[in-house]
Amino acid sequence: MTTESKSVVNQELILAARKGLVPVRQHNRLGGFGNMLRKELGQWWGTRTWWVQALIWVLLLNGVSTIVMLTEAFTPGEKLQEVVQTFLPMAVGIVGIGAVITVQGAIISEKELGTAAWIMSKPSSRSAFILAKIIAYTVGFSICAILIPSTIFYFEMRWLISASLPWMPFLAGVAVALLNLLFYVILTLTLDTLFSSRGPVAGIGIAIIMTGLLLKGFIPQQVLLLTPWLFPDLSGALALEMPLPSVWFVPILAVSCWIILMTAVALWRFGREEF
Amino acid sequence: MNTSNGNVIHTQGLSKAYKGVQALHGLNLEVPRNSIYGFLGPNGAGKSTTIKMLLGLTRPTAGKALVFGRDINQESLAVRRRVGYLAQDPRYYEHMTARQTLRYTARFFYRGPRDLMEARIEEVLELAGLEDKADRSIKGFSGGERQRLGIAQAQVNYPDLLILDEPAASLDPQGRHDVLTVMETLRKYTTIFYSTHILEDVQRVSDSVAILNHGKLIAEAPIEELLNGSGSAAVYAVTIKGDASQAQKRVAGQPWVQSLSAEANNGLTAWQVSVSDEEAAEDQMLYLILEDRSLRVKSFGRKTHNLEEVFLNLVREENSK
Repeated sequence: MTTESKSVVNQELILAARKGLVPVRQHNRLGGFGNMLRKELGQWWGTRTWWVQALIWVLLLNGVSTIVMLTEAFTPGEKLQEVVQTFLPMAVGIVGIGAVITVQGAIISEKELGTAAWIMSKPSSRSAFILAKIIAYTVGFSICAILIPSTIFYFEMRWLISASLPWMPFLAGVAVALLNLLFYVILTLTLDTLFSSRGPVAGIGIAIIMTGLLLKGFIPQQVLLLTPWLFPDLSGALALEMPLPSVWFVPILAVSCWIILMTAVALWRFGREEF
Repeated sequence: MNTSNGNVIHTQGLSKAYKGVQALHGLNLEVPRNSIYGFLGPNGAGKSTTIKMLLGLTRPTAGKALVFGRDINQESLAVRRRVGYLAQDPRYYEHMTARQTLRYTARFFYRGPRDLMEARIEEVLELAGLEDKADRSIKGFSGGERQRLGIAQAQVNYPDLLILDEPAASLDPQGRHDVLTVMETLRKYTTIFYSTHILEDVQRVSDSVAILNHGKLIAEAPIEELLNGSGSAAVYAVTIKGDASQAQKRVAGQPWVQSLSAEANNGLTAWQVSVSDEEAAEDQMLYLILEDRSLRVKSFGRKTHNLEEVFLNLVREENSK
């Protein structure tokens, strides 16, 4: 910058400074991240979204598992296994579908409405825009759809069937459900950056989940290991400390890699978006 | 380029093509500091494309542009820190109120103190005439109210450059008047680069004008120059009472007169005299007319075009090429 241009550097910032306003720190890669994250979280926690979501998932997940807990057909030992094998696979499969349905359009709608262009006309980075959405949706969904129902489930189990499940293995099972959720949130947001209408986004997301739920038996094991499709079984097995195959961690590593790859694709694609 | 030559925006051969369609052809613009610069053109001329490129919302396919001496591609964030932008159809988060929207905007620029940020928000709300709607959800806002909110959010950071895309398009006459007044007030603090279809507004407030057609710059000049018909012969308009036929012969015979057209109506004769030498015309024309003592000159002056005329002529000429 020339000396003269420095001398005129932002007359208005000088004016603002005179008025005592403190400019934000300048981050080129993550400019505006804090502000956007706060706004995204506000959309979850500052509105009725959080309790509506929490209510839906508690009714759905805890409702079904409560019915199983109250069923007389099982012995106490079988019942513990049955309720855990009901709750955690549901928390993996159905919450994944819920995430795809809720998250689809999160970016597309902003592109359509023009709010994304408005935000990008401010000193904000495109990466920050995507990361704020990933974090806010993951945090919101994790708490409302997995952590709240899981906590209720854990204590309900002790109360209704007097079964004590060690909390560490149970948390491991819940962690698998969280990883699965993160996978579908990021998958949906990535598809949102790639498409300009919601149809393909929801279609692809749900097709991936349904393939895992319905066609798992027809898919070679080597392929299954690279997907989140084994997570329903894995989450239950981890929580119940059942014997696991030696490659049990491969899907976890593979899905973690997918998450990193999809995030990179989303950042790259949104970085090239033309408004 | 730097800001030392007084230009806030400088573009050189700026071009944009979308899927083979050339939206902008080699645009060269110089927008002087503290000017109000009108950017005109019919729909699809490339105005919004240019604005979006300046803001880093879309990338040029060729050429370059500097804003405050900074490259719009390499230093877009630094540019945007000093710019306020109002989109053509401004849209905001519907669940927020006007105040929340301004607070959200302000946080991209400032991190505190909270009371001073709130004071600034109050200030821009007042400037845009939205004080009484500050805490209403944007969902219920009319087009005009959204436009006002757009103007407020564009100013929250005391911008050095305000880029307004059709700022008065959806406003009623009072709203339009208010926007123009705000623009005139801000002139001493900032440069205003705005696109519009409302030529009357441009003529009222702009210092300089650029006219774009089919992605090509067809005119760029200070408004006075454009209205006076720069480059072409000066035209004087004279209204005379009485029989002006002899006077017409005298004037038309002068070497500095290129053409003279006369039109009689209700005992008045209106002349349009095209001249090659303005000084001679201003020194001699009235004397030549008034040699005839029976004539009265009701008006005399250099004819200025109105912007609409200039605009339409230029676009027509360009389209006929």
